Parts: sequence; structure tokens; C-alpha cells
Amino acid sequence: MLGFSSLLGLLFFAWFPVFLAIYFFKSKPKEVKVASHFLWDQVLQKQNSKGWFETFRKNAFFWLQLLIFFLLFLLLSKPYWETKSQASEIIVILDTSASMQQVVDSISALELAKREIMDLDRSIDSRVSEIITWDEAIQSFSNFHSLAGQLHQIRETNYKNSDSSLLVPLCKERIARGSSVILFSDALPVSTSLTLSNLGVQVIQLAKSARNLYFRDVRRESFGKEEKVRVKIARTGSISEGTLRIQSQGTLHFTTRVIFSGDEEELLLPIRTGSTLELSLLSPLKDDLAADNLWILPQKTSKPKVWLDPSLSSSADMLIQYFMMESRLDLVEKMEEADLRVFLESNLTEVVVNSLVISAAPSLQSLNQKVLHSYAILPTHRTIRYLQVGKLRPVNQGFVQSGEQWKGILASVLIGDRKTIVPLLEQHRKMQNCYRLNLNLSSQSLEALDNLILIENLVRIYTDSLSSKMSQEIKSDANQPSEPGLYDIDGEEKFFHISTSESRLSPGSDSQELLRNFKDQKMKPRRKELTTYILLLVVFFVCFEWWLFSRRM
Amino acid sequence: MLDLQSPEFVKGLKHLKLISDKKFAGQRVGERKTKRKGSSVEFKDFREYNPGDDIRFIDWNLWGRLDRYYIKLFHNEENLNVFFLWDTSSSLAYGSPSKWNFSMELIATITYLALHNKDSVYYYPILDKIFTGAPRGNQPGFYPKLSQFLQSMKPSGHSNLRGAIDQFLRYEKRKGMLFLISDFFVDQSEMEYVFKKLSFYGHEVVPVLVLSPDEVDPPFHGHCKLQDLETSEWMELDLSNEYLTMYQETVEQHKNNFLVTANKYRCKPFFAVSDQSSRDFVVDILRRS
Repeated sequence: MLGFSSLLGLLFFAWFPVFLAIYFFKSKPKEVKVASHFLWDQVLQKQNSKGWFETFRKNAFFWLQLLIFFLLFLLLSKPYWETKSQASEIIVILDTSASMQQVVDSISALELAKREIMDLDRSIDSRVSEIITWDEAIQSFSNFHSLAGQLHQIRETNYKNSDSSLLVPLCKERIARGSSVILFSDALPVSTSLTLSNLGVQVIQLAKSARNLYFRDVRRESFGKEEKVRVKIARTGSISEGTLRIQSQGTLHFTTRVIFSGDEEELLLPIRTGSTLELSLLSPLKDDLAADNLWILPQKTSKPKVWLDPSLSSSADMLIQYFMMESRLDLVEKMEEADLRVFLESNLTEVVVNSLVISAAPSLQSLNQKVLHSYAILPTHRTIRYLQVGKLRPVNQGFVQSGEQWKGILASVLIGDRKTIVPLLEQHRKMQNCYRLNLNLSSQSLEALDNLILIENLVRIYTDSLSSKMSQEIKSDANQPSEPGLYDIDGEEKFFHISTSESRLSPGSDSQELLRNFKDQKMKPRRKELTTYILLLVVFFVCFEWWLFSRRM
Repeated sequence: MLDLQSPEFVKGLKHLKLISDKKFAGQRVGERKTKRKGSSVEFKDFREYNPGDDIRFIDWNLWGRLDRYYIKLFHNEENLNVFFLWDTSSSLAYGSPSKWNFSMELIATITYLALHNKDSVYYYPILDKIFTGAPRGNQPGFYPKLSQFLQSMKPSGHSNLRGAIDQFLRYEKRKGMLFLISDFFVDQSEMEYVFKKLSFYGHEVVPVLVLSPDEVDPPFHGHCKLQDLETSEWMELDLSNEYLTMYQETVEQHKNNFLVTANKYRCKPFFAVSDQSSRDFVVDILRRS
């Protein structure tokens, strides 16, 4: 539909009589005597008998000039062509993980999300045709009679979110069908958020970004015999102070007030116990996110010692940097002292990573490996191609050497659109008692990959798997899991866990603003400016008139 | 200034002779054969002698061979009637040189030839009606008088060709060579009527369409107001190239109509542009005759 940004074009109609007057105001004709009008009359008759088109041609100058003036005035009106957005179906992905239980504005994040979904459904033309719940698993609900009824049946769970590798193809498929996908979550890892956003999913994070406190980092540090915990607390918005509380097994150690001078404050607090600490952050505002304000600092364990292959190429400098920054690892210089050994293939270049070898000492075999892990990846470079290693699961099929059975790790590797399951572990013959994690990828498929991401993910897999948190007691009563842990449910072991990784998430952007944008996008027709086209038309008509004029005269 | 009597104008004209395809009965003895038998020296035919015939014309040689009397017959030689009917409407005054001057020179030239051939010359200028009081002559000595008459005339008003021809045919019973000079700004039907009627009455019609060079190729363009010299009416036109081309096509069509119509009724049409020499044009007419 044609629309105008300005009403200046109406001036044309005011000027129209003037144009007409100017057109009909002719210069004084030359007076010429002719023998007779006889022949001229015949010419006139011929001219008149040529029909409407000839009459139009006779006045072509006038019409063209009028048209050009009209177009020029039309330009003043800044015309645009408005097309209504296609009323595509809306598919809602609803985060039903444990963290959605957190209270936002006195109701849980899940209830808030439901409320937003209902509001969204009412305020736009498109209808919500499918709801996908996302926690540990993904479940789809469609063909429901009532959206409210369906939402009512959806409850929050005690599971954590699975990684986005299952969600991504699903979103891709729905978007390819022409549907709009909107995801409601409390907060997401930046990488997941970016991945989904890049796919075209509208990510609504219900965490309040306007005013909030959150932990940026918490770590134990040893000062001789004394042990301290270093806490970095960050704020968003205008919040000025908060309270940090540290407790262990129900016993309050102490409470301290944090006053912000900048956006981040760092505290170094002495602790007496090596047991697991629970740090909670309270703000004077009641709408803070409980889950974000809880940090569980695990019991101190000895850090895995990592040895890096000294003959590393230039790209491995990044790896060294990484390990130096990684507080959960200790870098050692002697290979014999190391729990974890990292080798790089000799041909590793900056661009191509053919394989990365990570080995673990046999002493770490006794880890409980019945834990399902998922690992978020960092955002990749702008091409959105990345290598993601997730859902690593120890498998029994493995490698037997010297009578010892070695557990393997199954990694799902997502490269671009393709998902490849790679049985990763094989024993390295040259290095006894070592795991070798060898990604059998072609150099071609890896050419566009970011080495750092690849390396970082792999390292995180191992460092996490080495942490003591991986060892869990299997609890028998799983009917009402009240706390994180591994439960035996109908003979199947399931892990209920509010991951600390979720609590480390920084708050999302303002969900209300994003929602508004989404609604606007769905409701607001798209406008296409016509100014350039009209300008081209004017130029064309001027040229055409000039050509006509030169032909006639 | 038109000077039809100057020596330069008439120089050499007396050597030319007007030739008529048809044979007309003349008024007086002249130099042209007629259908009638007469007393010229040119033998025509024999006829059996009848009592009362002049015995001087008996062919005695034939009597000697056939023993019968035959009379020798001779051609009769009379003069030719040359009629000039010309348009005197204001439209003839147009052009440079004007169509009028060209017409007068043309008439004067042919008049001069005709008089020197002892032909009878009759002038019928066409006004609203034909003017019957114009001088006439059949001797070279009449030329000054006739040319003076031509010089004294001025184009004016609007001519009625159809009415004038009707009136001429009612008035003039003699037949002869008839020069009809005009720009023929008349309808096709009127043009057809004129040629048909003149031919039907037995004249050898030589219509001459005279146009000025400015009419054939108008020297003006753009926004113009055209005044009709005959009616003094105005017509406003925006004369573009396209329009002028169409006008030239119309002129050509007008000329073709004239030639086709005239030929249809066995007339001998001629087209003249007023900037050409009247003498050359007359020579052209004589050559084609």
C-alpha cells in the first residue's frame, strides 16, 4: 500500500491551476498571411482524424510536464510502499529448566514467560502454533485447542538445559518453514544466545538487566597455609550496594556489605573450611534473581597438573595462554608430574588443526563417568561456523592395552549444519597410559574453524571431567528430587542438578524491550522508500521529453 | 512592377506558336486548319461534281482518265480562339514572387504568341462571376491594349470557380483553347465539375495550377497565427516539424488530385511554382503540346 511520510506533495494540487495557467499562457503568435486556409484546414482534419492517441501525442509535452511536476511533488511527500508482514506462525520455545523457578517480579520466571506468551498471542495477528519446552530434553506441543490451557500444563523441572545442538536444527527447520521462533528463558550462555539469534530466533531473556547483581567470578586462593576466596561481583544498572553471604552446610560464615564504586567490585575474603561453600548475593531490591545470586564453590581438590608439549607451533601459544588463565589447572614443566598431557600434532598451523591430543594419567581413571555433560561453546568468528563438542559421554567400548580397559569419550561435533558423531578416543602408541582425543576431521572441514574454540572446548571437557564434582552419590528416592544429585529412577540413573554454570550467566538484556521489538516487527508493516525510483522516473521523463522536443523542432 | 510590354518581355516570343490538338472552327481566316473545307492551297479530298459547283475546281486530269467530273476540295484555314480564365481572388496575391504576377506574365506571353498567330484572344477573369467586359483581340496590334488590361487588374475578394464556369459556358458559345489559371483551392468535387464541364463543351482545356514557393515549403514554424487572404480569417497553429511535414504531404496530394482529375477529363494540366520563369513555362507547355 502506498503511503506518504509528508503531506508536502499536496502542494501540487494547490499549484495545479497555476501549472495549467502557465501551460495555456502562450507567447504571442507570429502573424503570417497565407493564400488560403484551404490546405491548412485539410492538415487539421488529418490531424484530428488520427484518434485519441494522436490527440494525446499532440499534447504530449503538456502531459509529460504535468507528470514530471507531479512526480517532483510526490518526492516531497517521501512516498513509501508498505507491505504487511506475512502472518507467519509463531513457535515458542520455553525454557523449563530448573532455573526458571527463580522469582522475577514476585512470580517465577516460567510464569512470567507464560504471561508474556499469552500477551504476545493476544497482541499480534500471528498465532502461537507450537510450544517447545526445553530442559534436559526437548518436547513439542502442537495442535492444542487453547494456548492458555496448554501453557498451564507446562511445569518447570529440576533439570538443567541441554546444550543447544539439539535445539539448533529444530529452530532451523521451523524457520525454514516460514515460522517465527521466539525463545523464552531466564538467562542463556552468550554463545547459545548468539547462535540462536544468528539463526533468526528471537531470544527473550527474562532476567532483569536493568538492575541486578551477579557473580562474575569466585575462586579459592591459597596464601601459604591460609586460604582465601576471591569474589568478583558485578552490577548492571543503577544498583549501588548489595550483601554477600557465605555459608557452608547450613552454617553462616559471615555476611559483608558490598558498596559499588564502579561496575565491578572484587573482594578477598578469608575462609576457614575447605568444604563446599555457598555464596549468595543479596541486593536491597526484591526482584533480584535468586539463581543468579547463588554460587556454589566446590570443595577444594588438588588441581590437575597439565603438561604442554614444548614443541608447539605458533598457534599453540594461544593454548598456553589459555592454560595459564585456567584456574582449575596447574601447568607443570615436567611431563612425568602431569596428570594431563596436551600434545599437538606436529603439523598444526594457525589455520588448520588436524588433531589435538589430550592425555590423562591412569591415576585419574577412577572418576565416576556416569555423568552427562553438556558444554556451551563460545561464540565463534563471524562466519558462524564452529566446532562444538558437546554431550560427551564416556563409553564402554574402548581400547584395551596391557590388560587395562580405557574408557572412551563420544563427542558430537557440529560443523556448520552437519552433525558428526566421532568416536574420539584411541590410544596413542607412543605414549603409554595416555588418552588421545583425536578429532578425525579433514583438514578441509577445519580450514575455516577457529583454533582457539576448538582447543578451548576440548580442554574444558577434560578439566570439568577431572573435577571432583563429577563424582556423585546415587540417591535411591527420586520421586521428589529436592537437591542436586544423581537419582535412581526406575532403574535408570538420572542427574538432577542446578548447574553452577547457569548461575554464572550474566543477566540477559531487557526482555520487555525485546518483546516490544518482536511485536512491532510482527505488527508493523514493512516500508520501502520509493524516493529513488521516483527520481529515476523523473530523470527518464525529462530525457524522454527532451528527445521528443528535439524530434519535433 | 509588372511590365508586360517591355521589349525584354516580348523578345523572341513571336517565333513561338501555340499548337492546339483539337481543330476548332475559327472566326476569321487564319493560319490553322479547321474541320471545314475551304480555299487554302492544301489539298484535302475529291468530291463528285454537282451542278452549281465552281467549275474552276474540276480536276481535269481525273476527267481525262476516268471521263467523270470530280471537284478538288481544299482545307479551310481559320484562326484559333484562345480563352483565358483566371482566378482573381486575393489568394493569388500571395507569395514572393506572387502567383498573380506569374499568372499575368503567363497570360501575357501566351496572348502575345496567339496574337502573332492571328488567333483570337478572349479574357474572362473570374471574380465572383466572370467578367465579360474584358478586351479581346486577334491581331498583334491588340497586345498593348490586352497587356494594359492585365496590368490594370488587381487580385481581390473571393472567386467562385464553379459559378464562373457555368456562367462562361452560358455566355461563350465559341470553342477553342482554354487556359484556366488558378491555385484551385476548391473541393475535389468542384474541381472535377469544372474540368468535366469545360471538356464536355468541346474546349481544349489547359488548366494551370499555380502555387507560390512559400506555399510549397512554408518558411515559418512555431506558434503562428495564419490569416487567410481571401476571407481575412485567422487560424492559430503550433507548427512543429511534424505538422509542416504533414502540410507538405497535403500540398503534394493537392497537386496530384489536380493532375489526376484533369487528366481524367482529357485536359492538359500543368503545375507551376510562381518563382519559375513564365517564358520557360510557356516553352514547356508548347513542347508538351
